[in-house]
Order: sequence, then structure tokens, then C-alpha cells
Amino acid sequence: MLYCKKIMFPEKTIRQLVLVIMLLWWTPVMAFVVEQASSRLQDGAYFIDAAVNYEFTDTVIEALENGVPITVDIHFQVRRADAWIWEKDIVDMHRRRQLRYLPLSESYEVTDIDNKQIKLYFSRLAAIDALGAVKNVKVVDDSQLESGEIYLMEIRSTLDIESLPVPLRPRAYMSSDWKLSSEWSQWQIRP
Amino acid sequence: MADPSLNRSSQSGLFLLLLVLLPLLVSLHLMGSAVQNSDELSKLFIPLLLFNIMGLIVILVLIFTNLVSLLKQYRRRDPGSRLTLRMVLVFLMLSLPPVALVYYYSIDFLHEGIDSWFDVEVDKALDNSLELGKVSLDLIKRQFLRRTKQLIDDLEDNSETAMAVSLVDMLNRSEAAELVLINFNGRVIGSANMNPEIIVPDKLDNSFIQQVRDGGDIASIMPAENQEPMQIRVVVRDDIRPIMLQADYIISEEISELSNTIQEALVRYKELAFLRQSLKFNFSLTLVLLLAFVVLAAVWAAFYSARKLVQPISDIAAGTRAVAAGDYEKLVPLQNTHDELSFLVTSFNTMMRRIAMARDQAARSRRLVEEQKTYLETVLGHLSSGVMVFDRDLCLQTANRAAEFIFNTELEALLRKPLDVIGNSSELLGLWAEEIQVALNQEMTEWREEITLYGKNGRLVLLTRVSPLLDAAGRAKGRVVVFDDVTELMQAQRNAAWGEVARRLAHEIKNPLTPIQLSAERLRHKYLKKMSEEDAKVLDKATHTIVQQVDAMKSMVNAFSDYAKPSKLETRPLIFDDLVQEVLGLYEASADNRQLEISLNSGSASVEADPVRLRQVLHNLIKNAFEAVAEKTQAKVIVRTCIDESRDHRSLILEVLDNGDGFEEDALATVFEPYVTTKIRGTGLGLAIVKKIIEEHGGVITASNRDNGGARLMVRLPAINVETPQLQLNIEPMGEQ
Repeated sequence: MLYCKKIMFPEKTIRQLVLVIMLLWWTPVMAFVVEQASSRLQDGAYFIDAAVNYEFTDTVIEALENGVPITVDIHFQVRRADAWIWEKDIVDMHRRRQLRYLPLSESYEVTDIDNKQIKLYFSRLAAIDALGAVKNVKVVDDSQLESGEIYLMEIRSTLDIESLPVPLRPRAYMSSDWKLSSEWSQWQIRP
Repeated sequence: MADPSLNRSSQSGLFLLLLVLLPLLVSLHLMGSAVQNSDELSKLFIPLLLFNIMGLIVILVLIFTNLVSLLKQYRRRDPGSRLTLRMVLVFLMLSLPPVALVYYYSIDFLHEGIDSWFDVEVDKALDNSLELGKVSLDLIKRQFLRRTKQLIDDLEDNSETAMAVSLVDMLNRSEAAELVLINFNGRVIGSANMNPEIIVPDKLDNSFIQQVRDGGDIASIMPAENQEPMQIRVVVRDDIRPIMLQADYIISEEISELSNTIQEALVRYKELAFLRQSLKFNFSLTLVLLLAFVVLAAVWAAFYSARKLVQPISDIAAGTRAVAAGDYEKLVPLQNTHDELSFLVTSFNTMMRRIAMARDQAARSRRLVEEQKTYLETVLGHLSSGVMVFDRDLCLQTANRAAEFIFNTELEALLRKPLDVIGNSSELLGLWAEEIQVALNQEMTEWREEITLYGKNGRLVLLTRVSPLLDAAGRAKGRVVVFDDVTELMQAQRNAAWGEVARRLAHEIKNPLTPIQLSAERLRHKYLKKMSEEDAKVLDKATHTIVQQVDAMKSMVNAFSDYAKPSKLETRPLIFDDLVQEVLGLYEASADNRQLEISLNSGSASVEADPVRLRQVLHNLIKNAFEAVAEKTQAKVIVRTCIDESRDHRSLILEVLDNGDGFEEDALATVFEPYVTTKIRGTGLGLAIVKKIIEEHGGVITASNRDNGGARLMVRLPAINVETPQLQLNIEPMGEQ
């Protein structure tokens, strides 16, 4: 006797349910704000300057004070303004920075993970400001862009849960305190 | 043999079980790894968690469905449902308590284990180490602060250029790695570095400048940055001039390393302490999911196992119900196992097959018997001989149609009735039963007898044979009586004998008559004139008598000759009513006071007949009828025709009835035989010739007495060209002769 024969799972309903759960689960809290984002053409390349205002939750600050390194991801994108959704981005670049508390010196260490540069700050606010300071970040060469075409430059920053210690990740995945992000900040350029 | 569909179904159920449980188990294992130390798997934590929850929901739904189904079966009192429910409960009672115990102690052990990683003493020691490091570094910081203050106090020049030049000298005198002179606006006046490659010093942080400008000197630890050794940065202001001096001192490698070690250990410990709750949560979550998996899998397995175990018993119960309902085709599906239940099912199926075979054999035998019975009934039904079968108690078991026809009695109602009851049903049967009673009582004796019976329809001669009816063992179980109506046969034999007599009479008597007559006439002619008047008178009278009687004898012999010689018929289609009307026309005029009633209803129906011979029949019958009523005051002769459609073939019926004295009962059976007459002058051949002519035309003639007096003669002839429908036959009851 096949005991499971009579059970009919409505596949569509289950798919929708999973989608809703995933959306609720993965919808980040917009705690970060990208301010003063701009680009400039210099020496044949486009550079981006911006300031990301990080408003970390108490849970994140508590983890930071207890020695947990906090990593943020700054995501840069350049694509044609009227590009279809499946069109490949011209630039899709990530920059990651880590904030860490040093109890001996009672200072905060900001590390640019990509170029291994470390800066020390004696106040948390200064360190967080430095964490969000985007200056002279080269995103694309002018030669990569077609003259006369309108392009969309985008920047966004998120808290990188994947960089948290492994034991903390499950709770971070399931808690809105850790799913922090900013909206995409966009502007257009015409080479 | 095992039922393939059942095996497939069972395997499918097991396959589905494994299909759901195995991936879920693997997923749980991966999730367990993900919450521990696997960087790669931790990225799959949420998908794994969702997959596990969905899998558990699927099992939960399956269990719920099974439970609802089982409860419904229980309420319907389906076979096996009670046993299944009991087994499920037993399985659960056996499996759940150990699992719950393991879960409780696992959670307890987990929490205790994780908490035991963190000791208060260790915590305190690490804090103290950090404090010691801080104190030690504070001493060094104060020392470097004092020295740096001394350096800026020693700087006597007021010119920025001179002060910048003096810095190199000051660097050589101090232990600093770098000296930077800055004004209150943060502008670097001059710098000197032990490393000649570094020309431009690091820009001092604005917060530092602000703090120093406000009067607070700073001595701060600069931890290893970019793989550099730990430094202490001191920034002091000049009490008079708006300048400040930044001096970076490199801490000894040993102190630097020790400090870093303490700091890393402390950070690591604090991080672990902070992650303690997360670890507990992760392990608890994994354990809860594992517990749920084990419990749900156990419940499902309980349902599966219970049903699988109970299934053969339920099948056998259903099979016995089917047998009770008369369905022997229902076989119990055989499980693909080799246990006692399988043996039970096999035995049950074997029993069912044998019962079905026995039933089929019985059905075949019954069908064969029925076929034979039908065959026998058909044969008996078409036999001209009457057949009756009696059992040991002389109760009638079988009677064929011929028997009913011979006795003119419905015998079906007399089946299983004893002989005396049968005998009471009709006069003829009663007489016949008396005759055969003796023979029927002798079980093993063959008996044969010609029985003559006299009923209201005349004489009936039955050639009767009684034989024993034997069973397979040769024992008599009844009697078979076979009888033939040989009345007609005997009549035919008698007619043939009379024909032979007539022929011989014609030959032996007619031939001598002519010489006798001639001799008498010669005697008369020769001696009449020679004799005396008196003698002549005697001779004349004697010869006259001789000639007259010889003529009479000739007529009689001719009549016999006509009766005996075979007829040469010249037949043609005749409209029967026209022929009857033509003959009756001769009698209507001379009917005088005798009433002749004519009713001709056969329309244009014809007969294939010789008109001369048929006229002879009509004349004879009508003449006899008139002669029969000659002495009656209210004489009445009825002649009527009609068509009889009550039999398989259509017949023309001619009836001649009178209200005379009718036939004597004893003579009724022989009225058609030669030399049987009630008339003084009759030859006794009239009705015999009529019967002969009718039979030559394929018909029959019967004679009977009417209920209210008088004779009735009925002629039945095969009809042709009948127009339907015709008037309904209205024949008075009679017996065939």
C-alpha cells in the first residue's frame, strides 16, 4: 500500500509560500544611507566619491564591542541606462571593509580588505565615518564606455553576514538586526 | 505467486519513504556542519533550514493524512484498522520515550558543555592581563610623554626653519623613530624620521590636533599597522609657541608581541563568549530539527510498518467476507516476504483456488446434466410414443407431450403426484393406471401389454411397455412406462384385411354370379312356355327371385370392390364452400319438414381434391344425417364449415351434425369399419368408404355423439389459399376416432 499516494501537494502554493518566506527572511533593513555620491572623470577614468552613513543596530555594536569584526560590502555597478535586465553590467565591483575593536588600545581598526590597508581610530564614530568614506575609487575607464550613451552608476552598501564568525551566521540570517543595507544610489553619466 | 502490483506499490511506498527521509537526513547533517565550523556550508544554512522545515512539514502532512485515514477506517470498523491503530500506538510508546530522554540529556549536556568552555577565572585572568598590559604601556607612555615634553622645551628657536633643522638633531638624541613639528592649524613645520626613505610624515588626525590645542597632551598606543611594530605616539604642545611636537616611539619587539598576544587572546575569548548564546541556539536548533525528524520518521515508520504487517490479515479478512458472499475469485495479494503471514496468505489462496475449481467443476457438471436433460426432454417431446417415469413411490417424475396428447390431459400439474392421484384426473388415465399398477409394483421386471381402453371419445388401444429405471449401481430407482397409441394402426390393419376380403369376394363370388343369372334366365326362357300355367308361375317367380338376388349380390360385390381397389384421384384446387353449397343445393329442395341449417365460413379457402370423390363423401354424410333424423318430428341437420388455425397448419373443418339417436357407445369405435351399420338396408360400407376417401386426401374424419343428443361427424382437410383472418373456429368438444 502506498500511503503517500493520496497526498496532493499543491506545487504552485508551496512555491508561492517559499517565495514569501524567502522574501520576508531576506528583505534587508535600510539602515545605511549613501550620501553625496558622485563621479568625476579624471585621467581617462571615472572615480566615485561618496559617504556611506552606517547606522548599526545595538546588536551589531554589541558584537563589535565583544571583538566580533564587522564587515561591510560596498557594491559598485555601471550599466547602460536603457539596458535590459539580463544585459551584463559593464562594471560590477565590490569593495569590502572591516571594522574591529582593539581593547588594549581601546581603539577601532578599519581595514580595507582589498588593499590590506589598516587605519586606527580612537572613537567609534570616527571609525564608522572612515568605514563609509569612499574617495577616489576608480570604477571604469572612459574607453569602456561608448560616447553619447547614457550610463547608470550605482552604489550600495550592505553588512556582510558571510564574513561574520560561523556560529553567529545562523542567527544573523534569521534576524533583521543583521540584515542591514542601503538603497541603491544612482546617477547618470554621458561620456 | 506474489501480486506484482502489490509489490510495486509496496516498493513505491518504501522508495518514497527513502526519497523523503534520506535527503532530509543528509540535509540535517549538512546543517549540523553548517552551524559549526564550515565556512562553505554556512552559506547554505538558510536553504538547508528551509529544506529541512519543508521536509518535516511534508512528513507531518503524510502522518496527518495517515492518521485521518486510519481513524476513518477505525470508525467504519474496516478489517485490520483496530490492529493497525494498536500497533501504531505500541510503536510510538516504544520509540518516543527513549528519543525524548536522549533529547533532554543532549540539550542539557550541550548547554553545560558550552558553558564549561568559559570559566570565570579565565575571564578574570584575561581581564587582568589586559589591565597589566595597559598599566605597563601607560608607564612607557608616561615616560615617552615626559621625554617628548623635554624635547619641545629644549627647542629654543623661534624660527620655523631653525626649529625644523633642529629636529634632526633632536631625533638623534631621542629614542623616537619620527619627530614631526606641527603648528596649531595642523600644518607640518618640519619632520625627521629614522627611516630616510620616509620624507612625508603621516598626517596627524584632526581629533588629536584639537585635543592637544586645547591643552591636553596625548600619548597613545598605535598597534601594529600594516605589519609594522607597535608604536606609541606622543603629541605635546609648547607652552609658549603655537606649535606641537609629535613623536613616534617604537615599542620593544618583546613588549609589542606580548601585548598583541594578550589582545588577540582577549578578543578571541570575548568573541567566543559573545558567540556562546549563538552556539547554543545553533546546536539546539539542529537538535530540535533532528528530534522532530526522528520522531516524525518514527511515527511514519510506525504507520508504514503497522499497515504492512496488518495488510495480509486485512486481506484475508476481506477474502473470507468475499467467500461468505459467494465470490471465490478473490485472491489475497501475496506480500513479497517469506514469513508466517506469507504462508497463511498462500494457504488461503490455495484453498480459494480449490474451492473455485470445485465450484467450476460442479457448474460444469450441472450444465452437462442440464444439457442432457434438455436433450432428453427434446427427444421425449418429439417422440410419438408417450413416456412417463415413476419413482420408487410411484410418483410421476416425467411425462412427455405425446403422453399428454394420447390421454388428452395436462400432465405437468400431476408431476410428483402418486399414481392413484394421477388415475383420478381422467377416466382414461384411471383405466390405464389400473392396468399397469401390477407391472409398476414389480421393480425389476420388463412388462409389455396391449391395453384397450374405452372412453367417451371411443376406443383407445395403447401398446404399453414398463421397464425398470436403473441407477449407476444397477439398482432400480423407478419405472419407465412407454406407450404407443396403436388404435389407428390396428384400424389400418383391419381396413387392409377388409380390403383383402372385398377383393376376394369380388373374385370368388362375382364370377359365378353371371352364369347363375344366365342359367336362371335360360331356364325361364326355355321351360316357361312349355310348362303348365301353375308350374310356369312357380318357375317365373323362382327365376325372377334368382335374377333379382344375383343383381343384389352383384351390387354388393361391386360395392366391396370399389372399397377395396386403390383410388385414382384426379385432384385440383376447389373452393370448399362452393363444393359444399353445390351438394347441399340438391338437399335443400327435398328437406320438407327436416330443417337444414347451413353455415359456410371458410370463405375462399380451397382444398386440393378430386371433386367426384369429395362429392361422394358429402352425399354420404348428408344422406346418413337425413336418414338418422327420418323418424324425428323436429329433425335438424346442421352443415357448417370453418378454418381451424389453432394448430401449426391451417385446416378446413366440415361438420355434419344431427339430432338423431346418435351412435351406440359400443359401436362408436368401429363406425368407420366395413360391415358396421345400424340401418336395415345398409351395406355397412358407407362410412368406411368416406373415411377411405378422406384419408386419401390427407384428412381425418371423426365421429362422436353430441352432448345434447345426436351424431357429429367432423372432417378435417388441409387447406390452401386461406385468406386471413377467418372466422373463429367454433367446434363442439369431441374425441378423435
